[in-house]
Amino acid sequence: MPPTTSKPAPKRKVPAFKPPRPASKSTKTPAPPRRKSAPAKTKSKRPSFVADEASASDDDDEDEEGEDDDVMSSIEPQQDASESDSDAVGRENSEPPPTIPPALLTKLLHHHFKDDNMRIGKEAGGVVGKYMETFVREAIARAAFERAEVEAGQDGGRRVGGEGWQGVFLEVSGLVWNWGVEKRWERGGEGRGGERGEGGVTVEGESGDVG
Amino acid sequence: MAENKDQALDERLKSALWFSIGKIVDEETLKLGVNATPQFIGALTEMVWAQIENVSIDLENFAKHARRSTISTEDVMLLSRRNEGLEVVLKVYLDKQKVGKSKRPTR
Repeated sequence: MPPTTSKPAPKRKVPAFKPPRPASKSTKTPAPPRRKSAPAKTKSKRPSFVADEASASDDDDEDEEGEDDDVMSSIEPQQDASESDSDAVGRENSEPPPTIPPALLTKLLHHHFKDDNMRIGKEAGGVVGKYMETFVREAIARAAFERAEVEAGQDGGRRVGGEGWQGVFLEVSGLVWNWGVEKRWERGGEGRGGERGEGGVTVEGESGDVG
Repeated sequence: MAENKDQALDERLKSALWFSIGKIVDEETLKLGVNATPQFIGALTEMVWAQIENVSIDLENFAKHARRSTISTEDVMLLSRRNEGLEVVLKVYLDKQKVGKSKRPTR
């Protein structure tokens, strides 16, 4: 059951800390079509943070409102009672959703610090954790959408989370595309579209980048 | 010698990262109703590894620029300075943490 029913936006209540956000769409739209041009679908929705079906089915025409919804619903799935999300979360109430363990993340950060005396506050570590988690989930969502578009190009009409979706595999190629995007991630996608091609099509190209 | 050691540590850390990334991927793919190849998880791990590396260096420099030797939340928020959506996500998270703290000091 598609959660298309536009949730009557309790998110609107989100308080004052919300920064002014000039041109709403800029965050997600700019990425141009990729290798497997599937024209019709391509433009559709770039997965934002968590490409839940809600964001997929939301109509973009509402612009700001719509986007805010997306953002907020991906942040607070439980509160928003977006069904698919709460299902996933509530699936195993005993365990919180998996993340990168804070201890591991701290260790990794310290591993990469140039200065051995550099330290990181606990709160700050938490935010970095959120950052990385967002990063990972967005990467997955993007790869899934990449697949969705490829599939849609082939036999039309499939959608992430839709019925025809079982048995679809996320491939490295989805990530390779992602990788090109990733470099722009921190810049909120305002970067040039030209980078995509350089991302290479092979896994080697990708891990080479990683060094 | 030292290099070998470093490499070994690198690999162990990467394995640990791989493991937790794998769990996140499992969760997400279950949610989305798709599957992920092991190569996918591997490639994603590499991506995250590289991202963490970048982030570490950025954070370190941000803190240094502020003449601190401890990275604070302000430094982390600077990471999102060019991505409003991300900034909102992080702010909401931070706010939640603060609220949670003042209500019940669990964390």
